[in-house]
Amino acid sequence: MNKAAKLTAALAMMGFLAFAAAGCGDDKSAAATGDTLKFGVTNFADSLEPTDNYFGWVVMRYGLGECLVKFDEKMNAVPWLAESWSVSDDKLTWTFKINDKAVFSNGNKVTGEAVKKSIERTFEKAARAHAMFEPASITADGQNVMIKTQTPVATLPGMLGDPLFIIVDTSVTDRDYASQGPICTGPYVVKEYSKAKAVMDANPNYWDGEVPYKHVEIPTIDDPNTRAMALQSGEIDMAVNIAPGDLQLFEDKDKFNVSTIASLRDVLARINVADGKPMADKRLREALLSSLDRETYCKVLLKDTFVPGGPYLPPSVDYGFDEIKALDKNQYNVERAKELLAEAGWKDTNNDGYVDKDGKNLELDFIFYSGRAELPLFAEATQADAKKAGIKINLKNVDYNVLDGIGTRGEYDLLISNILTLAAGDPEVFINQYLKTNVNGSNPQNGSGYSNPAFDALSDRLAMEFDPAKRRALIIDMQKIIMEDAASLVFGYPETNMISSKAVANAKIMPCDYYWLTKDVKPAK
Amino acid sequence: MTNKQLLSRIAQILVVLLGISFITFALVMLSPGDPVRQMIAGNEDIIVSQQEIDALRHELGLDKPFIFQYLDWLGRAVQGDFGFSYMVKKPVVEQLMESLPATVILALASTVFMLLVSIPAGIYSAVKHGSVFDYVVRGLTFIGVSVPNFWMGLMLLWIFGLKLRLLPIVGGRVSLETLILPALTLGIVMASKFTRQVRTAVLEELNQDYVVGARARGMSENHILWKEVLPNAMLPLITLLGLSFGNLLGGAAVVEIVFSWPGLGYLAVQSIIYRDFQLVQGIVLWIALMYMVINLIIDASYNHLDPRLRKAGR
Amino acid sequence: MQTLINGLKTNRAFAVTSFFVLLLIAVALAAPLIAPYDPLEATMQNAYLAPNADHWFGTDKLGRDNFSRVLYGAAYSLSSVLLLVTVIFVIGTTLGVVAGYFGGKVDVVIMRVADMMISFPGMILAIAIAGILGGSLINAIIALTVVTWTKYARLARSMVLKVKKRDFVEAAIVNGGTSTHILWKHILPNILPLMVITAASDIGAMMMELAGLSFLGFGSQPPAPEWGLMLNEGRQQLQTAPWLMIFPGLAIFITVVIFNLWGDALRDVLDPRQEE
Repeated sequence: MNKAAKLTAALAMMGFLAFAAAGCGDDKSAAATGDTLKFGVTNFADSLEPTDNYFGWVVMRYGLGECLVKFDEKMNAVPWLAESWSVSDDKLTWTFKINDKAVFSNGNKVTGEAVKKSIERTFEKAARAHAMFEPASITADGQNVMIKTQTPVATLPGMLGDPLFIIVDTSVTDRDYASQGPICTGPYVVKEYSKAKAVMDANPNYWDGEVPYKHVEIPTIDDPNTRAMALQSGEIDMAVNIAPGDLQLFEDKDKFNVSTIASLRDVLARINVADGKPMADKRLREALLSSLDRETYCKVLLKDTFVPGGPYLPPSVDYGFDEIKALDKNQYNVERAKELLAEAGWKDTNNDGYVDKDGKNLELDFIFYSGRAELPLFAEATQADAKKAGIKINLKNVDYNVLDGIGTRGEYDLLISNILTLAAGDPEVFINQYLKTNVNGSNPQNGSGYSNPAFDALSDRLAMEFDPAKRRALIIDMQKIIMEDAASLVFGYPETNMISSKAVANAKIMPCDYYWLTKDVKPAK
Repeated sequence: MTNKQLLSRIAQILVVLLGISFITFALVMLSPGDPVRQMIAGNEDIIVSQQEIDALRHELGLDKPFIFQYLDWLGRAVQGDFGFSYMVKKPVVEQLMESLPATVILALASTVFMLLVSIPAGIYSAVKHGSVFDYVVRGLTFIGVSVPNFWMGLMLLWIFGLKLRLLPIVGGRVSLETLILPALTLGIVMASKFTRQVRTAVLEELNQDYVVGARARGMSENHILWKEVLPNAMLPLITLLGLSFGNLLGGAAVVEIVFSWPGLGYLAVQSIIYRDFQLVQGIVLWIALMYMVINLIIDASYNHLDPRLRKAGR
Repeated sequence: MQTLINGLKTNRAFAVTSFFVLLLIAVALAAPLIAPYDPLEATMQNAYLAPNADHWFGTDKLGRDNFSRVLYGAAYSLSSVLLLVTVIFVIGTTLGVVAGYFGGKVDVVIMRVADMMISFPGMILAIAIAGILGGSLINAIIALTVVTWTKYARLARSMVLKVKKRDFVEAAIVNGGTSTHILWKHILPNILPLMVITAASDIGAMMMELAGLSFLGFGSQPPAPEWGLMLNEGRQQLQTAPWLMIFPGLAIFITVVIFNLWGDALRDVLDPRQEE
């Protein structure tokens, strides 16, 4: 063979390989039919083991697993697998009556005994369960399960609504939970699961009505813009968390259903008030808060997908939002910000546009991460607005993974995050976490140096209080102290959304983001 | 290439791999960032307790001193065990093998596109140099080498995916329809470069004495071009082809990211973001290995193809 | 220098491209004078305006003027790419000259490291380094320097080896000239033109790689008006505000075209023999 021939042969070979390979890879799937739902999501879980990390969230979001209780739109615990529950007079023993119809996807009946085993499994495998409550004993009797605790736990039913307590059939032992998922009771069962894509079939034994789709495909599309484009082009029928900027693409009511709701989240910046930090001076904190036009950030920059911030807890939960909002002295007012700065002795003496004192500019380190689109936006907006009052903000974009360390060590002036305010339907953990006094590491999450005895006293009373009305009053009082001290910078409360094409009915987002794909999501008639 | 030369090249590859593994390992360890929290709850911003984090860190051996972690890793790597990726919960080798086909397919497709465009265009514009065609080719290729590939990718996505609705936007899977745009993006940029190189190589040969001689002897232009010029001009191009193919196998990271093409480059960026150091390590080594082996093969075949070099024994 | 001036007179391509390069630099320097707005000044009520008479290139997510940002981006992107090329040029050339001139162990060590770096696809290593060190312009420059210096080192070394054999250098060595003297007086002037050509024709490619890193989030950080970063931010609004992606991309493209053309022309002027 001469050289040219060899070359030609080699090139032809390569070309052939390329097309062969491309051809093999072509798994062009049928366009969405009435049988199959395609749902674009973000997903962090590489396994379906519900007791591992927070992976139970995914098991529940994908319509695979269910708990004894679920949360309604007002975050009240309502029946799910359990049809009712009650607590004994000594407040120690809770009795849950399991719905008699409930069966696992393999046809096994969900008995009191099965539920007991499932809860025991969770306690055996997940350290986090022990942090929620400590059972003294769990017993089963027919369709009843009795859980006795060592100390009274007022929010126990809510805790069992956490996906950590998804009820699984423990009698099945030959499954790989990571890739096949446990046997649960939800409307769908896993066919294939990887972090990139889940394929699911209808649960043939579903206990609570007809399962609307024969098949569901859930591709993970982590980039929100790509998700939006996929939904527009019809590659998927339904998507969650479309970016604020893209919502306007789905305004056509004849083509899309848009479901939005105020979530249970805060976007807030912790403020470091430790001695030696500029923000130790309350006047400076007030000046900063007054310099920021949070109304515009939420309404214009984020296109009304956020409620402007103020109170520590969001308006979606019933903890006196309007009452506390009315107390906010630090609404947007640049003049007030300048006056407060002047009062505290900060003036722009060298005409560089920033106020200074003793020859040093007022500079604040603002830590953010870019995992969520709104955080860099709030950070940059803060920088731009604070400058108008003469405060210099230095932005520091960090890796999400280092955020906790920076927070606990107090290596910030401002540290923004998007955080869930309720755990098991209750804000106690959240309200304490960054603000309760940290004595020798008693509350390491509070790296800000904030300490207010009045706040701590209320917090201690809250820990002992069981009466819901009194708990609510205590939490409102705590929020008032936070507001009065200007101890935190709440930017806003995000709305969350679920958008579906007109081919899908009842796709509705709930405040609690455990529930995405439910038995109610069905083909439109 | 003699056997001795081959052996020394292989030894060299091993040394380089060792060096690279140490550098990447050190870099990962020096870097700020903690994979553990991300593994527990992703970006969900859930309150995670320090105990949970510490327990998992210990379980993964991430609390040991750096050098021990490296030696541990090296000891296992020598036996073919490149560790376990906590990002994908799979052995690193298995994940590499899963991501490899996508990268190979993309590399082959864009290379084929490149060859189909650049060989005819390059040869023709060299033969007709100074013609309008030549100027057009030179102008277009100039534009091609000056466009950032990610920008071209985005524009193609915008035009074909969004405005014309011809091709799908969601990547994340390997199929003919998702292949077209990334292959086109890479192919256009590469074809621009390669066309220029083909043109230069052919032009250079055309100016050689033997061509003048052949013309003087009255041989037909076609004969000169196909039998004399092209075979000689193609030889140096093979090296260039090999290099760019090797680069592609390393994963065209930026383009893979733009189109969510699930290949090695995409995996590399993800694993860096997740600080999944076993996986980063595995990818970097694997890419280096492929690149060097391809270069070795090219050099060997180059010697084999070119009789002048073979006789010289180089 | 004289060659350059002659080049301007005789080589029309060089004259024209040099004019454009100067124009580009002038735009970058004069950005504060030309730009209608402060690139960091956020008028948030005006976020996401499409291009119009007040905002030629539209406005971005904070209501900043995109035209002003692209203009300031010229200063920012140009100075960072020039810094990058200078760093690579200095480090690479120095190491190459040292290796070539002194030879021996120094040479072996430097060239072994260079071999190691070269047997590796550059961009992926740059991404690894910049990503692991954390996103910042400096880290991106470090990363690209690490993967690119070898090219200059090899080139400088081979040229030093060639120059060293010339009579006048050998004479200087025999006459007992100090190493510093020989390096400065005899070797550097002989290798510099080709090194400068290489650096000049690399500006375009380096600009794209730096923008690529910024685009992945491993380079410049907000609110810097850097073109790669602006593309990264614009990408999020690909559908609703395409102008945020089109204009910075065009800016990169035009700049790269100008520098590539200029690099080619400079080669013709400084090195008419076309030795590649």
